[in-house]
Amino acid sequence: MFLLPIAERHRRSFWAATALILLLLQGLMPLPAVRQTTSSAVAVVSSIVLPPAQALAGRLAPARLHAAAPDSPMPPHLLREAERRAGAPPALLGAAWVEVPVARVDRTSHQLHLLGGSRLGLAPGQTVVFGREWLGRVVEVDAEHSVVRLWSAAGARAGATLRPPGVELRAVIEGRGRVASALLGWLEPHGEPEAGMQVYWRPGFEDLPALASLSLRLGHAEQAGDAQRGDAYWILQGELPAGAEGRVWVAVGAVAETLIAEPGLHRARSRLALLVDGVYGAEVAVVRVDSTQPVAVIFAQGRVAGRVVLQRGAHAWVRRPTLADWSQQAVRLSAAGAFEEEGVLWYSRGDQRLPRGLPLGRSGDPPVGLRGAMTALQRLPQPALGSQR
Amino acid sequence: MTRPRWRIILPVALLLTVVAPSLRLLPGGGNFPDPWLLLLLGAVPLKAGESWRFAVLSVALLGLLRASVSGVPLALCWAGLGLALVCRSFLHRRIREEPLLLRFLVGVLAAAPLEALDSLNAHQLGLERAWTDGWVRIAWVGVFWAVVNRPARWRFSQHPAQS
Repeated sequence: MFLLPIAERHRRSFWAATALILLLLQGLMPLPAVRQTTSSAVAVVSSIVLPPAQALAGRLAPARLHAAAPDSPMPPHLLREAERRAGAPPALLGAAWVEVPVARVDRTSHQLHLLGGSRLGLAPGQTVVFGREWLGRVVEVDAEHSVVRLWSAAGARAGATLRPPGVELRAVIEGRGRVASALLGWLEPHGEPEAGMQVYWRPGFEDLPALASLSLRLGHAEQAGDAQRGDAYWILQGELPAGAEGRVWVAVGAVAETLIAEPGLHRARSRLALLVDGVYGAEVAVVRVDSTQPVAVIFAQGRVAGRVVLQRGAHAWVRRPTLADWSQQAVRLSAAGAFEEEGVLWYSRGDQRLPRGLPLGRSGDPPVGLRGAMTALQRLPQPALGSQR
Repeated sequence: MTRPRWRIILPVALLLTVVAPSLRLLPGGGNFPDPWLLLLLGAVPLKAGESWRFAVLSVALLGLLRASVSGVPLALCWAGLGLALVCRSFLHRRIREEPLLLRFLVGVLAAAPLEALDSLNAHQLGLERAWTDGWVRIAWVGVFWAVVNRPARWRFSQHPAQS
């Protein structure tokens, strides 16, 4: 038997160990340039191997993987309509409401990143509302984007009014961000608020006078601390309305040609390339997309049929989520189109990649199959305006 | 174990790659062992030092084919298959090959890194896998290795040089 000299064996062991460590590092913490190169190499092999593999898998696939969507179609724009119904504020004298979609809700810094900027007439200091809820002010703007600081953000201050019977108490709220609820301080002394009392926004001297007539709400007052020890204080409780994660309205004095900014979407036609993953099984499928741009979801039969988890060139690996898997990323509406926590109609909540308002399904529906004409979708990438704060 | 020729391994590997996704669709398909790993363990001789080029090329080829029909990155496929060979070689030098259980154990430990990396990648991609799938796949590889790597004197046919 031939045996390697010990030095040669050590040399090979060293190189094998080095190669494996590098491969593990690249697999777990990939360098983008290396990943792109390897993905291109794999995509070439995939384009050869996937057609015969799909031809074979298509014959063996159980019916559920080809399932058609249930007969009950989902209105495609119901969430948008619900947001407009719930969020459009009353008309304003001397100004206009501009409807601006929300790109992202930053719950850490209590900010909304909007998909509209100075081209729509937005400017720092403007009032942002949803229905009769006052949300905050625009603090940063560029041509196409802006940032809204919510009243609950740390350090944010705004005037407030409480209305006990027969009297109006003026106060100032001060946001405390993630730490705690906003403080309701500097209360006028000629009256006493009650727990649960509505708190209204009070316009400042720079705001449009017409805003005062709208009685915009902030939330409700609650007492905190220990009253018996004399250290009780008032706080303001309130949450961002569900629809305000989708769009808000900004009071603008000088308006542009349009009053609505719709988010850009990247769409590409796609078709099934392989019903099942060679390692992970039927939970994952491969879809060929007629574009090399990144995509987030696959839309088929009027619903979201899959979420893209990996993309190599024109091939996208798609997970078939059930409705329950969407629970954290869904907005639910009643059959009548109202926001309801237990609503039967599920729509996508949206994030930086996933478009908002895509139909996901009705409660109890099984996942739809990846069949027929499919579309790959993704929100157009947004710049990081204000994201560094 | 004699080294199979490329003209056998290449078509077999391609065929496996085309068939493997369909196997996962069969009842209990999630439990089937990884076909590329089985081919690798069967094809690369135990004394990999004598044919390290063949071992490296086999890992490269099978890893590439595995990645082409799965969501596992190429680097993790190569790392998992390479670790399988390293584990097998390391353990095999230290155990007696007669006891079935020890050979089963070698197969299990050789399959474990690949399965662990697949699970890690599934977690990163947000996929949910039944925890039993991974264990059953590993056990199948152990059974495969316990059967394939029988001691020479137990085999029905022997190489002329060994008789």
